[in-house]
Amino acid sequence: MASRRFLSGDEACAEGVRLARPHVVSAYPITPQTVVVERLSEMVERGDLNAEYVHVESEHSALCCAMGASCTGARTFTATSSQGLLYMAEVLSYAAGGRFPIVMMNANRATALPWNIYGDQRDSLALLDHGWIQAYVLDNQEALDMMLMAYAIAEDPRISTPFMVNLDGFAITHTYETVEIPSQEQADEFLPPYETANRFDFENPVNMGYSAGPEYNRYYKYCAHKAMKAAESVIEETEERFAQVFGRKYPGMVEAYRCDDADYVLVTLGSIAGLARSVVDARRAEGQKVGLLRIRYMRPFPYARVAAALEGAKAFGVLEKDISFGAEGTVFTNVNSALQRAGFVMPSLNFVGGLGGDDISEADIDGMFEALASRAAGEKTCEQVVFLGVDAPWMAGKEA
Amino acid sequence: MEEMETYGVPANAPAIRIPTLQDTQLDPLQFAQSTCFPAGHLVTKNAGWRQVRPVIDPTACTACLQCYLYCPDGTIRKTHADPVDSTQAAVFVDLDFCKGCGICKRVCKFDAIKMVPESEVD
Amino acid sequence: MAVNAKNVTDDEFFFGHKACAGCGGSLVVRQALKVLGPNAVSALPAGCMSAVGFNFPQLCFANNSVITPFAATAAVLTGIEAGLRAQGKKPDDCTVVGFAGDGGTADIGLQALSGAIDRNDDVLYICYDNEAYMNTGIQKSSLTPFGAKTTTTPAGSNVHGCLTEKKNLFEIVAAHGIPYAATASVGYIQDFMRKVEKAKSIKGTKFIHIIAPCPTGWGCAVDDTIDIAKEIVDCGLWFLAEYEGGSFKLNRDPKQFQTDSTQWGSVEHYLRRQGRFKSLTEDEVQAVVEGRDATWERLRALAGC
Repeated sequence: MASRRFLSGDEACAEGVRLARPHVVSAYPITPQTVVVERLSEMVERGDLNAEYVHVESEHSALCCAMGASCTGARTFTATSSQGLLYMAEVLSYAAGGRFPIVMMNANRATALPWNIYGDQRDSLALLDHGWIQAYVLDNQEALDMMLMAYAIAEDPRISTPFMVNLDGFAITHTYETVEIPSQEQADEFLPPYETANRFDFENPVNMGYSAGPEYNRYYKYCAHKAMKAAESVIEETEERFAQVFGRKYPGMVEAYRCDDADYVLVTLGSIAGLARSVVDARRAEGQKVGLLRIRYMRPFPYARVAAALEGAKAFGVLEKDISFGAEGTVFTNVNSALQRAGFVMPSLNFVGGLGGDDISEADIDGMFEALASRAAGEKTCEQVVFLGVDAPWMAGKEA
Repeated sequence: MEEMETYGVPANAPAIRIPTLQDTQLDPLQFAQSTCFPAGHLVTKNAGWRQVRPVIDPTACTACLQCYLYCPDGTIRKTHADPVDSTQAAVFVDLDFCKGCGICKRVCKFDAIKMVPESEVD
Repeated sequence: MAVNAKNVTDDEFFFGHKACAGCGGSLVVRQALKVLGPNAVSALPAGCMSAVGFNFPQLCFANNSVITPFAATAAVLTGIEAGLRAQGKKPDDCTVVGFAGDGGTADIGLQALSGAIDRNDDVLYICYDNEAYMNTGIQKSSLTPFGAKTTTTPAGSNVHGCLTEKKNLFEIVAAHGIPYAATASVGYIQDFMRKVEKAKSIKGTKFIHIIAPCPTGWGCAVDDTIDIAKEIVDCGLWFLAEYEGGSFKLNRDPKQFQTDSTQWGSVEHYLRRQGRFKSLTEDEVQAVVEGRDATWERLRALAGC
């Protein structure tokens, strides 16, 4: 029987992991992920989760332990955040190259220096190139559901790629919402056991994780890239199946809200999209044609869907909680590439906000649409890469 | 998978688990789908490393098997010959993979192994 | 009956590799896997043995094997063992075994090793110690002995080589209260094989630290490996010992070490036959002798001799 409970994002994630039946859980605690691993250890203690829970001594070891288990054909789970994600960064590439379908929850959190435990998205966005599928959830229900979908997608033999599920630190991880928890029967119907040839075998032993020199190396990269591209259709198939089993339909790699005839579109990731949606509705009520594009998957990157959603707009802005120093926000870079490929040219702004857990208000977002309208009219009212709360003119008075 | 002919290994050597030379055609778009491949797949020999090779005197060999124990490469292996047969040593040399390090000669207390230059061998 | 040359399997699980001629490390892997049998699952970090054993398409392990990230041998071993057990797929005669070098164990790998021992994971960790980062070109590790020339402790007019003493890795591991730890040498390979066999029968974490000379890095002839590995034990600069059930035991406790410095078995003879110790002065050699004596006093006290 499915049930409904009032859970934090971390707790919802833990429920999703439980339902996915991993064989091995290995994780190291770090704020704001800690509740995930605490709940999982409680589930193991109660017998609700029949997994080996390994108390690893670092994040690097957490992912390496998960990888060792994956080498045996086990379904594995780990979770981390920020400094921990960066500490295990070497292993991200390793696991992806080894094509191990490990699922990891990442609590998006600012990275040092300076030290900061609050949510922003620099940690995972800085690591897009390491070969992991990366999804960004909107709310606690999606956090739970994505755990099941992540395994289904990652373990698909056409894909065989590790999967990082990103939850905004504190905004999702520590915020409570009513969540529907599917039954184990439903979960088992949706997610079959993990089967693979990419594992040890006592009848026909294998050598794994080997070196490949210049003669062969590029083929591995090519195959991994192609497999991740192939995930685009598998994501859609999986969401279709998910809807059939659980009754919730997810919108694919992007969620386009009122974009069809929009003059100005705001593109964003994660939980802030909820607030942005309210601003879109308010402006629409006043007759302004605005829209919101929530990118759910940053890798593989949905080039065609992004371009389709922005086609015909007079201007677009990307609101993201990261910056690639000396350049621009990474999401902005990826979105601009999508438009370039499609042959669309239009004015754009990059809104860099929420860094170090900074709050973003409805008024702040409202100002972004204003700035876009000005930019479309040829007026430069701000820098193209504008830092909210520092040099965004519509937020005057908010600077420190 | 085909196994290439090896040299120095007696025809009656016992069948064992050991990495072997293979002649498989490798299709990169197949094998590069993962870093997981059948164990013990070899494509090259180490014979070319040698400047000297061990030659075993079966009449001096006492079957103490120290050479077998101490070979870093596993290229001196047991013949399982009858100990009273003085025409066959207790061990043979796998000349496809012997690197000619000479450890076998050094550990033999019975002077049953000589290191002979490759140039002097047919 | 204890494993010996006659009864050990004919199977060769590590074969066809590209290690240097006379490589001590490869003998460690070869014999350990023969003792552990076909169901051993081995994990090796970056280092000599993985570099020479797993270069696609030359794959030199006949058993299930994987290369791990450099720091992570013990963490991957833990994961392999947990994964097999969680799926009910672990054969009774399966040992999950790691082979890591001195750098991969005592330096970058120490944290993960400590974690595995703390959790008492059912794995066997074997450190093949060639006393430097040999794979990357002979750089100093924390197990490089005093006076050894390496490419990062060059012997010049200021300093004659490595200035630090070998880290007491065996005692560090024992201090965790590990079920079983041992030291060994490729010069006494049968002793090593019996220790591997013993470890195989013990549940929990096991550790063996085996000296494995590297002719390339130590500056000796390729056929000297075994003799040097015997002499390092006989002159007392290495020791054969075990830690089990909370107690230390010395497997060999010579009444007297060779004092004639021209003779085999003396510290001086051992040092002078290797290129890496060429620059040591008489005084420095004497300091090494005194260090040996101090070590043996401590070891004998630990072992209750």
